[in-house]
Amino acid sequence: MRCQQCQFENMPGQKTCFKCGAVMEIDPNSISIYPARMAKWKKPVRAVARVLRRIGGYSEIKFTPPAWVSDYLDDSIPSLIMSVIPGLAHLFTGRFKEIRIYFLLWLIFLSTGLFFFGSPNGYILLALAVGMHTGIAVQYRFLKKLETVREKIAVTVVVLILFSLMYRYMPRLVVPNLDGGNIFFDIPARQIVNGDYFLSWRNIDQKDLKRGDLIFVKPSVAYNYRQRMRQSTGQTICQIVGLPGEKLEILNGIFFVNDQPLDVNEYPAVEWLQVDKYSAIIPPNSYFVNIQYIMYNHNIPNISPYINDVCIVKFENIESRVFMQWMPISRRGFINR
Amino acid sequence: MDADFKKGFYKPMTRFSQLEFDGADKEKPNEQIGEPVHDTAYYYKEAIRCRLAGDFELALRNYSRMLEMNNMRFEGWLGQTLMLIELGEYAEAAIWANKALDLFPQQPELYAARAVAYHRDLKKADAIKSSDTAIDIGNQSAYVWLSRAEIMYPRKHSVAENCLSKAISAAGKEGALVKLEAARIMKHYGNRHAAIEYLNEVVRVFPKSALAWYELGCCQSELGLSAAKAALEQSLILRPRWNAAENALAKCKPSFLKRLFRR
Repeated sequence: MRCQQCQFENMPGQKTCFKCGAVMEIDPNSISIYPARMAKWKKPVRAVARVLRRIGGYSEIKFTPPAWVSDYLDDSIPSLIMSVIPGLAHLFTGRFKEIRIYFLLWLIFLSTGLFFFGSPNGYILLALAVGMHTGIAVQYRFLKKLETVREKIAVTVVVLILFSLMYRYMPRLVVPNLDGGNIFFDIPARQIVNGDYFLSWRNIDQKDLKRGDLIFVKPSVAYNYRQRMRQSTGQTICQIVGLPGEKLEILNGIFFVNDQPLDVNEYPAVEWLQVDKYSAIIPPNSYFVNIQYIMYNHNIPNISPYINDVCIVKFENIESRVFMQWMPISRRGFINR
Repeated sequence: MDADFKKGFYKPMTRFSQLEFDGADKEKPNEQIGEPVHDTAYYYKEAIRCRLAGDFELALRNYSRMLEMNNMRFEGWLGQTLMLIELGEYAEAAIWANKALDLFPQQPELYAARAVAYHRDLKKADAIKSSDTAIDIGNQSAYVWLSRAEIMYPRKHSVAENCLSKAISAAGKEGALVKLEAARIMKHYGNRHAAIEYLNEVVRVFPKSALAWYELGCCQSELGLSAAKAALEQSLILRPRWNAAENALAKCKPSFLKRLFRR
């Protein structure tokens, strides 16, 4: 059978030409006669692509990877390592088209997940992004290489776990100074509500800290009294109430600094600090913080030592200072100091 | 391979050969009375009529209907590709040309159409390659030279104009239609005087072509000729409420300030 296009003599029964791939035996009934049409949204996108082509010869740039790159990426593990950036392995071997939809979905899930980070929806979207990323990574080589469904599922699960850990710890490497967490008490004067999510910055100067600032303290400070007290969460935001050298008192749930009462709406004493009477001089280089704890034992006779050890924190135990409210979206914005 | 396929593959119908414009109908002695038969020739004629009216969407639909009747008609595939190009869907046109080339691998016109699609999508290297293939195959029709002219215009005007001359000489009976396409290319690349010459000939042959009047009106308008208004109005009479013609006519009318300071 001779190909009409390249005149190559093919084996009988061949449907497409072995040499050029042209269709040889045409079944008139199976041919679609309706051309695919351009979606309206593509029009401006293509116009931009044309402008790019006009400016910089965009279409002329065709990246062909060196042979050793393709050979290296033929192995599963290097391809997986390369896929830490989703689609990179595909991009290097010119297979990006295979996963472009998944890449787009990953991008959408990741961006919306980050936008809603701190809320349940945000976590679900990020989980979907991790799933999509895993799919892209295993699609490159693993799924083709493995034969049984059980093997494929097992590898996918392992990669999913690895990528979940990567997503958990990667932000620490990329932006080491950025942190975040929820607050567990209300500050009515600042429209802060229990459960709001805040972003904080680790790199702080002692001079920057002022009364009313929201801060994160090192977990070790909170866990000193773990035997007797239970912290409500691992990552808790606290509020600076007393500065170094000041005299701080708590009387019927109201803070007094140097005998001057603080506004209850701006400095509300959390539940366990609403004691009859407490008084202390804040040591130098330390701060008195309003921090939410849940007491294990409600019949502790003298609470003052615990307050001293939990609420008076040294500067070196302060991890980061809150600079932005992230959730809910309606109150998103930088903290006005 | 069935008979239709053979007919479509080896003896393609000459483009525009079955057109009937103006008085052409009167010359036919055995004209059918009543509802015309809706066969491939009918849809092909309808498609060309829509093309000449500038309604490329409807022309595309008619080409598709033509292929519904017989999907081995080369003219239908080529027409679809050309209409996709006219509608600005260049990537789709290139894909469709490739698909058609699977069926008709030795048709230079399909390569030429693909070259135009690439050219308008600013994929210059691909366009040249495809156009070269179209010429290498041999048996070049007018459209192959038209396509070559369009691709060569931004590079070398003299070569492009030579290609246009070749296209017109290769056109034979279809000269007017080829001149219309040539004029559109010339207009696009700023050679409006030559385009007007061709378009005047075209409107003489096809006085009912809204597209020809529109292109003539646009060229005249860009040169500031007063005849532009009449040409565009004529195109609107032939195809009422045509947005492109209405906009061109609106631009043609002098603005308030122009009228105010007219000497």
